[in-house]
Amino acid sequence: MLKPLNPILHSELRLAIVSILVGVEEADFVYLRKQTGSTAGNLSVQLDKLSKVGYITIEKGFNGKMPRTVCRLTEAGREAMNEYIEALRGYIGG
Amino acid sequence: MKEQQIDERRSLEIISQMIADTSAHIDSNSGKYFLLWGYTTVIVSLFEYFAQLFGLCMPLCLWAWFLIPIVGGIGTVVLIRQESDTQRPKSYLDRSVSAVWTVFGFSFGMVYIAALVYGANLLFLTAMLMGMGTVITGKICQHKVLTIAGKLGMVLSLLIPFGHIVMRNYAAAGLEHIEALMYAEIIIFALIFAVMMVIPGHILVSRAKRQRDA
Repeated sequence: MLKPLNPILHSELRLAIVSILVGVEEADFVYLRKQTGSTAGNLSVQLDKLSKVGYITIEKGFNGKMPRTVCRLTEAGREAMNEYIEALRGYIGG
Repeated sequence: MKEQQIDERRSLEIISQMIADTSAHIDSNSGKYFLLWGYTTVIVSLFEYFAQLFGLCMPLCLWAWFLIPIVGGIGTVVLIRQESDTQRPKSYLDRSVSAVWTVFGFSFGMVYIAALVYGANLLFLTAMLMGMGTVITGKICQHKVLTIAGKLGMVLSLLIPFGHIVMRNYAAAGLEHIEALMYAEIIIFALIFAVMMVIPGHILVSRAKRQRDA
């Protein structure tokens, strides 16, 4: 029987964000916006959703005088991503 | 990219594309640090070689050796600041490589004290330590060019004590007619840094440029 896909991750933008964060220690908001090609408003909403379920942490600070938002994947987020990929394999037939 | 439901194949596409795009950004700047330290060391060493060979501004010119940590240190801080301005993601590789060079930086301090107190061969120990750091960086980042260059640097550093012996026994070795050999260890030191840092630095920078342009 196929495992259900995690609805939090099974969305284009949220999946892209988590896929980026899987390979790095941290990435900032501007980088995530550029890589995903999303709008700042939409990205903020999706980051907030991921943060609320504990998949990422968001740290707001400054780089010189410029505000900087840094995102990191949590252990729960990494685990959720592993489970998502595992479930995805079942659908693809891998 | 919007907040929308996707099918399974699209999920896989997104995961592979994001991971591939991000990994292309991860080590795009590592070559710059090798160029900075490599060129600084080669230029200062060549200056010292000619200054000592022709007896220019001695012993004042010996202080020029300190330009290596000063220029390299300031340049490193500038490069780190430039990187943080580009919003490049910070990877686990960055942390590992940074930890390696922090430890080696501390080791250089110890080596310097050892050279000052016990008269150890500073050039040999520096080249050997830099070679080790380069090999470890190459292994961590999986850059074969750095691993090979670092190993080559370590092997070549064995020539420095030989150059030192030639220098100390210059007349006894019957080499008075070849003045250029007088400070051979400094030239060997410069050559090592050209091989170990400048050449791989250029290769890494041009590889990163190609990756960015692709």
